[in-house]
Amino acid sequence: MTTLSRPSRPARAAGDLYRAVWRWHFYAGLLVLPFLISLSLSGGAYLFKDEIDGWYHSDLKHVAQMSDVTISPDAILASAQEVVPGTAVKFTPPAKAGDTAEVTIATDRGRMAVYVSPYDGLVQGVMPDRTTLSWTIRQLHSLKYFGPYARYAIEIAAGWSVLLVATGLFLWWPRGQKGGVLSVRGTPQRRVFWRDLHAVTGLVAGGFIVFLAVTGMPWSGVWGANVNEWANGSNFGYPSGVRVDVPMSDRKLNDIAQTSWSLEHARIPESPNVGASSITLEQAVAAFDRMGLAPGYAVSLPVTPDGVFTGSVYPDDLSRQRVVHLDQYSGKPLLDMSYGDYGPGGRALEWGINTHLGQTYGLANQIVLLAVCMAIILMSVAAAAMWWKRRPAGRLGVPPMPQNRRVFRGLIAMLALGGVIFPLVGLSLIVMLSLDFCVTRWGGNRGIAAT
Amino acid sequence: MQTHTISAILGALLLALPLGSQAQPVTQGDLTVSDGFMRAMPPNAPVAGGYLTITNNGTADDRLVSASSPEAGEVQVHEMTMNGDVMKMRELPDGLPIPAGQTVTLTPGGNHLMFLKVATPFTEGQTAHATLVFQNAGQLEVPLAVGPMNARKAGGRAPADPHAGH
Repeated sequence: MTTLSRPSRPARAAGDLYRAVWRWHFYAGLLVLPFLISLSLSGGAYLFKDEIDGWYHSDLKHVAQMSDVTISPDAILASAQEVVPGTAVKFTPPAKAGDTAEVTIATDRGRMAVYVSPYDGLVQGVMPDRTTLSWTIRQLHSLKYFGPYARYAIEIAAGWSVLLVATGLFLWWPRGQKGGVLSVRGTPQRRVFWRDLHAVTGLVAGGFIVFLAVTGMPWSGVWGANVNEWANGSNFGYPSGVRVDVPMSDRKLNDIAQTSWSLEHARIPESPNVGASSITLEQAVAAFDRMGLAPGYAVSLPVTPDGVFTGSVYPDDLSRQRVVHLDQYSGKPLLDMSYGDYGPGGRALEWGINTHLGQTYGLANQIVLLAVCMAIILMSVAAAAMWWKRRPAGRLGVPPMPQNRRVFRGLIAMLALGGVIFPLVGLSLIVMLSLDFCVTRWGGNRGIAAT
Repeated sequence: MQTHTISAILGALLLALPLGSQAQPVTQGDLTVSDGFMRAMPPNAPVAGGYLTITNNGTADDRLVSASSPEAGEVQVHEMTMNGDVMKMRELPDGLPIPAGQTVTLTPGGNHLMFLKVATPFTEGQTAHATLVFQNAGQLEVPLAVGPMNARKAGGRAPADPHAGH
């Protein structure tokens, strides 16, 4: 950084801006580095959720295929309830030959997932619902594992990652240097090696990181929840375009089974006329099969007299997302929704979410995102290494404050815009700005100035 | 080990208590089989569990190798294992050991017999039959009284008060 030591006037202005951006890149990195590593590890694993659960819980999810004939869904349900007394709330038929059926039963100890062989009706095993290895990884990814509030940290981290990419791109921008644009200079002993490794990897991965941060936002606690309400709040929570002319209960789709983001607040219709006897689960499953629901769909069972059978499936192929509610007495569909019924905004969001999950483009989707996760970890390591090599002994080594602080104004204006769109991120920016102000005001530049 | 002790105590209690209209104990060689029971099958149920108590009064270990029933196409000997919160049920390929001097209970939520391909669902009040095949003691015919759907033990009553026998 000797070029910055005695610059001419225009060069000093440019140097000031460079310092300002560098300083914020440093702060952002310091804050979100641990989250980025944790998100990359858990996210990289969760891309392969089906593979992971199929392998880790193989003895629950698979059985030896004994014949082409399977017993009726009602028999599977009865067998599960014999082992786990309670109210059956959900039935997931085997997606393919050799898979077990899954019955979810509400008990006084919480919901239990019961895995039953569809060939002889034997229960293979029982575990608390949503405790498979992939569910645990998912909860680690969203930080819900650590309680309802921890996930707000992810929302902040996502916002700061966008800031990291933007400031990182600015710092990467070629300024006449001979390397470190698309090539890596030096050896691991030298700081420039880590700086170039970080910058070049970031150039390739940056766009994907922004994509992941933005498409992850719909799940977030403040922004995601509010946008969801705003986008789907009217019309009983159904996306615009879906006609809703059947009686509605107060229960929401998300209460009974995992649903798509757009339908989290969609209310469940009621069976309009309580009849003498319900159709059997076998008849409901036959109806869903006839209507062409993709294999792997789940059937939520009616638990009240005006309840409905709800078949839902969110397969890798977005266009086959489907939710169908059946009148539990007549067996007629009350509401039948698919991806095509969502508005353009809903479709775009669902595409983003599905691609974030590594589903839209099959194996290529999984591999590309896994590579991005590995790139993020590599960049984090490189970032830590270059900071360590630059850092004055015993000090934090915050990049120096620009001499002309007016260059901050443009930067702050940009941050403010982002902060308004993502309020929780904005709030964290204000906190960080104040901290930075206090440190430079009262701490001076003595403790933090570097090179 | 503790659960073994508790099962043994419970088994002994069950033996000691007069439990009314239930299947009589059956003895052959060193083995006594008692308190055989099942639960009435709910409509549509494809399989049913069978529960009983086996006491080995001898000095040699024995083993329940297999079972059959005229009322079921197949009877399997199943073990139940807990690993953390995950419960698994599997057929015991080598059967169930009945150690010398000990009592082994087959109970709901524990090891049990599994009746498959039951032609006519068992109903409360009926008596089912099983033929147990032991490595040493040979074949043994035992009756299993069919109790209500939620029966936890033979006679279909709530678990015995440990002080009831005093």
